[in-house]
Amino acid sequence: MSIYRRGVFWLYMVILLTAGAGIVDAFNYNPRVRLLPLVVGVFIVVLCVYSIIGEKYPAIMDRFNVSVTDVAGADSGDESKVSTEADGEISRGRTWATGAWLVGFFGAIVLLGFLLAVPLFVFAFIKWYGRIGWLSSLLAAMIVEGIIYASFDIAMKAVLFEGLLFGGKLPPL
Amino acid sequence: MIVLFLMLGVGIGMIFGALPGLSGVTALAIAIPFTFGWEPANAVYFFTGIMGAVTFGGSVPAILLNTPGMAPNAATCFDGYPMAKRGEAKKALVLAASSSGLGAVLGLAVLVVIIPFMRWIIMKFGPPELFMVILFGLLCVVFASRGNVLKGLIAGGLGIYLSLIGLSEVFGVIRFTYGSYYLWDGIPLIPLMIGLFAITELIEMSGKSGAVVQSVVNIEGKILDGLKELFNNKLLFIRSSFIGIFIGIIPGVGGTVANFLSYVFGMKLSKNPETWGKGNPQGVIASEAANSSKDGGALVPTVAFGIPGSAEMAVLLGAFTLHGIQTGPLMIREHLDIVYVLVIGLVLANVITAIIGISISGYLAKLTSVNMTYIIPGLTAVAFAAAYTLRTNIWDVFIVVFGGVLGYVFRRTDFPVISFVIGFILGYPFERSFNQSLLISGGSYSIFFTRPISLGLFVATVMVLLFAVRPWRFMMANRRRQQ
Repeated sequence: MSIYRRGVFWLYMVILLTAGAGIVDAFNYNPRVRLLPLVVGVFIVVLCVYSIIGEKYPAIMDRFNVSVTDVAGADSGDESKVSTEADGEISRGRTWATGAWLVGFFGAIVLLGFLLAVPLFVFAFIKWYGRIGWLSSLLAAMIVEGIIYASFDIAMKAVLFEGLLFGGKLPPL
Repeated sequence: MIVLFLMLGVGIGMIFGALPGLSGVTALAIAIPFTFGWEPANAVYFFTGIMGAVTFGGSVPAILLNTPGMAPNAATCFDGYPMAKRGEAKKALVLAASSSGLGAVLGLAVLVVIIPFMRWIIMKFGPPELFMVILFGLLCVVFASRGNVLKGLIAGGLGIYLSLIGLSEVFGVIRFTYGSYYLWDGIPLIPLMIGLFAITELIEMSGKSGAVVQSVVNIEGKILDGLKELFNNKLLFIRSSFIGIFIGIIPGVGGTVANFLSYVFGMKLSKNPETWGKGNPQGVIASEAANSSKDGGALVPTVAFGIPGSAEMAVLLGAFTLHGIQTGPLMIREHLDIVYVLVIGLVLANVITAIIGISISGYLAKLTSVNMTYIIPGLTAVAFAAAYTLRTNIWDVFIVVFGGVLGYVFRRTDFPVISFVIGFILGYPFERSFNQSLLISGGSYSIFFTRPISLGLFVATVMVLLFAVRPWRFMMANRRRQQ
């Protein structure tokens, strides 16, 4: 199974579980409250099951493939150019690494607060992810910190999260 | 003051449009929290500045570097870049700016003509009619599902599903929170949008590291040549603009399809189609007129029914909510002034963009040589901080991360994000109008089929469903037979 098809399969499974959990939970409410969640939930479950079967037998899924330019009678190849708006292949490894950086950045904000986490993140990202020199990374971190401080703290008078280590408190989840 | 907000928006829009990988939706999503506390009218002028400028911003690198700033400018490359290489860069830029600007003005003129008619219809709207209109809008998810209809429907359904989380004002109960206090208010719309649109694009951009292009074609030629060319092709311009307006009205379809459809129609109806793709100025007109005029069309369902006509409009609806502006039919009934502010703002933004855009296009093109490694962490930090300041709740930043990852997974697996967003925005009004209708009728479902407008909308919905599925199936079968 290709990476793409495996990814699609697992996404269907996650959606299926989400909808299934919602359907089960919906029965805790009175009939009018649960009507729409039930209808939509069952609709999602049916489509997901059909799509999972369709992934196994591509002829089924192909029936639902749509190309709007086909309606105009264009060459089917034209539309594929739309998605590749910028040159270059997308590296899956790099993009998933970025996802990890984002989660790390969120963790840093929770622990250290915005005003410390922002320059740290910008510096680390440019230096180690972008493999750019120390000086440029440091300069970029300072500029972004300046922008955040000037626009949020000074201009908008917003109190940014201070971080758990510096007295910030997490609101109830 | 108005001009200041407008110019600020135009500046941001041009920069985001010109940077390949970023788009108007990203700019709007990140900008929304900054407008918190502004006068609603000033915020609307600011947003229209971004929306009006972003399309031309995207056409600059398309013409000068063969790299569209955004997907809706993709077809502009086909003829714009060959023109620039031939030494007609300025002519191509003027054509793009004037077609874009005038196309947008034409689209907005159509909107202004339609507004009184829409208002007249909306005055006759009750909950059953609204329910049917929303059902129609949700069904248009099918149209928005470039790729696979099933994936579009699943994404739309999931959007509705997630919108039902939290306190239901209709029933006064809290649903699907699984013990979480945070979810009592539901999943917050703006942080989710910032994640789905801005963070997703930043994640995707990180996979294409470095600068996109290093060299820029020289800008040569005369401004008047471009204007003359547009005047000589006025019929093509009008036709392309109307294609854009029509595509814009269909919820969720957006500028990319308008751009390509208009280009394809233009080429097919041209006397010399063999010259298209080799630097024919008509290609630039067809492409740019459509991708700008679609804004006027997209505003029709957005302001009249609260159904987003495009991704930008979905974000705009989120912005309206933040500023306490009622969306849906109430907007055109009670906030007609805001609708006209939108129209005036967009007209002014397009005119300003067309005037100053040409003179600074060389600088805009140079933006593509900026290493995106600097942009990604900077914008991420701004997006996180912006999302936090809305409610000063750190979990909103988590929603941004969640939205970013969800959007990225959707993109990689060909699930349309816009279908999800339409479902998310329309889920709550869909349920509310349904239940209000049943309250009026005393629980009888016949209310949806006994009122003329509601019945008409139901018939239209069924017809769209049949049209949407059958011809495409037929075409696919036809293509397979040909293969």
